[in-house]
Amino acid sequence: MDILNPMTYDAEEDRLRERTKYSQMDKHLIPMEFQQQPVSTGTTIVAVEYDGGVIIGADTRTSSGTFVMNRFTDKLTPLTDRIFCLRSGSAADTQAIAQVVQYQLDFLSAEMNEPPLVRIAANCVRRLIYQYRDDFVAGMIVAGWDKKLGGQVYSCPLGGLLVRQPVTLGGSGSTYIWGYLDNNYRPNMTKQECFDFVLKGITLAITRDGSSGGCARLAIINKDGVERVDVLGNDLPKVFDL
Amino acid sequence: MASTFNPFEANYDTINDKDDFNIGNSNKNYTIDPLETEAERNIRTRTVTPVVTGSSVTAFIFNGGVILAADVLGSYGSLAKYRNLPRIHQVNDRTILALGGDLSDADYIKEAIDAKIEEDLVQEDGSEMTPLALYAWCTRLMYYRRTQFNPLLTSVVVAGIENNEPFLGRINDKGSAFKEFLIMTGIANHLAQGWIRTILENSNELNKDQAERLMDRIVKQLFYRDCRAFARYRVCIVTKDGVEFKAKEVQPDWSLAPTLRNTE
Repeated sequence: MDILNPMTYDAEEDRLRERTKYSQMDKHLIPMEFQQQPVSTGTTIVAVEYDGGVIIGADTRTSSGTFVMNRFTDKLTPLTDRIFCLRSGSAADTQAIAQVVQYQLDFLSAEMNEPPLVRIAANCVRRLIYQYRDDFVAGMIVAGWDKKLGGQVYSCPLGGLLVRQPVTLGGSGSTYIWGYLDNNYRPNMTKQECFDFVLKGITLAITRDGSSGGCARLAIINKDGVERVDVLGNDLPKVFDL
Repeated sequence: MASTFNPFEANYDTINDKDDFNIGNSNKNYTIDPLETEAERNIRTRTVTPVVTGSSVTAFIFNGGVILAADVLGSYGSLAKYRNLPRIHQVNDRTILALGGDLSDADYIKEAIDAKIEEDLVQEDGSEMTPLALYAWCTRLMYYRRTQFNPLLTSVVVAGIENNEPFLGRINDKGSAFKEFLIMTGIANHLAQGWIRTILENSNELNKDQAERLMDRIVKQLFYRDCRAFARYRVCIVTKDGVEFKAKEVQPDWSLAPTLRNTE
């Protein structure tokens, strides 16, 4: 496997992987009582574009079955100075993808002598997910700012699709806030409105989803840099809770 | 013979090793087995998996009584669907019932007990359900359902004052029952049982305030580490003077979050 220039499809490797799915042998070797639940960032992730940048947000819970492995997770992973990815799905898979893409973009920016475009970062993520689509469980959102097109949000869901969207949700908690998005999102919102929208959305999802919880971590990415905001669990906006 | 030639079947004796007392050619390739056992016939009416579930129940005995805590959430899988379902019920002035696990089975148990209490009331002889009697009856009920392969997928915690002594016992869905000074059901067993047992074994008898503060700390810890936990919970304290319920909310501490940025 060539990290630097991964091929989109390699017939030989495909056949090889089909025959040696080691990851699935655990099911047959270990008795059911001792099988670990995969560690997942069962999550809520939200990303919104505004004029001049993007606002991204996520909750802070990593769970393994019903056990909270980490209640202070940081799911906002930087790929470059101005491009972040939001991770949902298997914690291991998404961490590995983020690491590989960080390297690829670092190399690319040395080659091109300028910061990489958000679309390129999203494409790197998407290519990895698509190539290993049968093995990875990774739904990622890539969002950031670049000189060419300003703030952009790209969604790279499970199968290996790449699509640009002005606003997108991800993770298990997102199912509970699609209605909130449909009702409350309008194009061309101001920065503060977008921030409130993201924070409220994450709060509503945390309230209902068992796999999301803790605090809300947000980041505002624009040409001047990244401003990170952590809203602690006690300070989340109040929602109807009965 | 020509009339019994079947090209899809082997000509030699094949051994069907699914049931080695039935050696021979299997002519049952195209037949459907009738449901023979009671368990199979009842499969549609059984609770096979829990649907709406309550999380853990924690309880321990302190100097003068018993304290229990359970949150008020009914989870529908990972969805926090019903956010106001108290799971600790008062049976009479000295008996408390707390339930965790499948909540429809919990309601069934509670209704059965309420019917029993009304029967006793009707006798008008002043006799009341005691915690030990309730505990014994619940054990029989849960074990009977287990033997029918139709378990009530609930954990029952019975607490109260028995013969002027605090009583605390638990019955699980298999009918396995025991009495202890510290009871936890569900994931609290893994998250809090060892830690709290060490505290309670090595300390003198707690008084009521200390017990309440310890219980608040336990519930806070479960809220941090259980995905199906909820911030609002009920605490029930039973002493010789009677039963007291309190509705509380967890006050979590998130102050470490800003220091843990850029960590996975």
